[in-house]
Amino acid sequence: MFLKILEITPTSVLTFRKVPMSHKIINTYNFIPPTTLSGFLYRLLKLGRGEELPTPKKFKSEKPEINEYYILETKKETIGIFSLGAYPVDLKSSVTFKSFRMGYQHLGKGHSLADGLDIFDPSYENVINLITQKIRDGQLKDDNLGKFQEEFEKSRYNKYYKRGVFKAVMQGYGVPTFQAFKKEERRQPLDWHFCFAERFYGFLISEDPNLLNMFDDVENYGYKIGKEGFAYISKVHKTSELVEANGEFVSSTIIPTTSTGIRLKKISEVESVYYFDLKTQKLARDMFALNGTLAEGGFYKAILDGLEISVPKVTVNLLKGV
Amino acid sequence: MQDVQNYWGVNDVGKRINMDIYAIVEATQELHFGNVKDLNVNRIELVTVPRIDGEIEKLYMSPTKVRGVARRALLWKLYELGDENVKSCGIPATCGKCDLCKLFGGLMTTVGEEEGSIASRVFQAGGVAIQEVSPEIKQRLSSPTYIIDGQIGQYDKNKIKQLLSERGVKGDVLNRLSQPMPYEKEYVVASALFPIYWHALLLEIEKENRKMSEPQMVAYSFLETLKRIGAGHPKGVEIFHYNWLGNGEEPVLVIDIYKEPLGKRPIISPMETDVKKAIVEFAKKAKMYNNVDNKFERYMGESAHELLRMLASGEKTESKLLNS
Repeated sequence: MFLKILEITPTSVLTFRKVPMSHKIINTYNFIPPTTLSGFLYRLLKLGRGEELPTPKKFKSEKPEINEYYILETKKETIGIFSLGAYPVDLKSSVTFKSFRMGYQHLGKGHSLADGLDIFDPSYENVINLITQKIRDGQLKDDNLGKFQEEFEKSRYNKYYKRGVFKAVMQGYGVPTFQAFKKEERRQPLDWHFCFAERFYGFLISEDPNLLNMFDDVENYGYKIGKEGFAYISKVHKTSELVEANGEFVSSTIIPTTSTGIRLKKISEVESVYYFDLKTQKLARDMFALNGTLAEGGFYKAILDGLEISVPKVTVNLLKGV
Repeated sequence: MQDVQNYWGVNDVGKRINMDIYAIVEATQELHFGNVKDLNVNRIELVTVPRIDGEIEKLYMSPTKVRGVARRALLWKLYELGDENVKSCGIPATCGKCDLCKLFGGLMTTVGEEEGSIASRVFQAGGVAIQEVSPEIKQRLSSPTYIIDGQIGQYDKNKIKQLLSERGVKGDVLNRLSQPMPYEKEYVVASALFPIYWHALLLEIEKENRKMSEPQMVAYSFLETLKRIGAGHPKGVEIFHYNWLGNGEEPVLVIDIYKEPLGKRPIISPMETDVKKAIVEFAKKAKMYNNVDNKFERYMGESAHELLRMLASGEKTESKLLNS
């Protein structure tokens, strides 16, 4: 097993949103999660080679495929490389600070995102059927059907308008015009947390050292990372070999708390983190003990440029899908 | 959305140019960057910096705040130049069709079928002050103002009482007029130095049929932001001038235009609290670059400032990469 260490220097404060997400508090991890590092590095590889970047996607209506995501572990040229995330030298060299921000929330009039109406999310046919039924029952005038079709087109197929019509007709009112159905915006106060660290050390592992040498070319490249902030690769360390060992160690990476085969003696902190499950080809979530955790069990170790790296076997196995 | 997809679809990698701006700016007077309001105290935002010997708090010019100003400055300029598209664009309802959205990004959530998002290609960073100084606290007075029939009354309470009683307001109500309310306001101290960094990925360097070319937009918004930064009054920062290249006082400013990052990025460690050391670090890194096959151009000091001014005004520059 081989290890590549990349020194990542942020030029600003960073935000990596914690799961589960909250609307009111934008919370951040104090390290770069494996999935974020994986996407960031793949983008840098593409930038370095002058390859195309992704085109914007329509969201909500169009679900992205896994192969469209920037995941090193799934790409042809980088298959066999696993991202373990990036961590500050120790927990003390990274802090979060809280900042107050004003976000915006869009609302259809009388229909907030939280009013539960989105559960219905009626299709176009549903609305048409409801209006026809009400006309048949004599509760609505005949011209309402045409009016809906006309106004829906005017709204450029706005789903909030569609929901609004559904609600109004259900309540026994006529079809409102799109003009009458004004959109409301309201300010949404947020507590935004930022992570602050001078540098992170990113870890990549692979059985094949040549694969890892590919990352020698991304030195000094940078791009946006996480939800907020910019970082660049300030140094790429030489690929080094990891030696298998057994016993007590202080982990340099996250450790799944649910795994057997390792004894967690002193957990520094726990977080719920997403990782890419190779077996199911889906993003999965698990509880992890953060770096700096004292554990006992099988691990890989390396000493490089004065840095002592210990990677628990259970983390590697989880990410490898073994 | 279709426009946008075509726009990104072009994605001519040969023409892709990076433009980075590194500068140290100075608060030319007090500045206010608001944070949560306490009772009668307007706080400013501070950033917590981890150090080997514990955490310290520093003044902070948040990149998110710089970004907002930059976007608005550009919006107004494009509007002034007669760009029709930007008229229906703005935060929070970004249109996703104008040149501004294509560069600064957009989020379209309420336009029905065309819902989507565009990733930004300009990133503001830095903003952690160099010096370790505490905010300055000043006493301010919030005076209630009454406007009656177009007449403005402020301190003259008796006149307001008279005007109100002429209109039939009687009794105790007249004694309930608001009093001037003192409050405290925190300020960033004048001469605080902030390193700020901008990173941009430009896809279309030619102006073509747009009002402004992408490098022009970045340069213009950077220069324009400097004088507009800060909440309320007073506003504005200026690029710090110092003899850092050995040719007399020059702006502490570095512009990189490149296809490959062949220069060391002049980033100052946020842990640094000594101004001289910080500038030495900046200068040392700024001088470390090489230009292989015209892939990297670095402008420093006065020549960098001149390049920005030329770009912002849409003039032809000496940059080979931008003219290729």
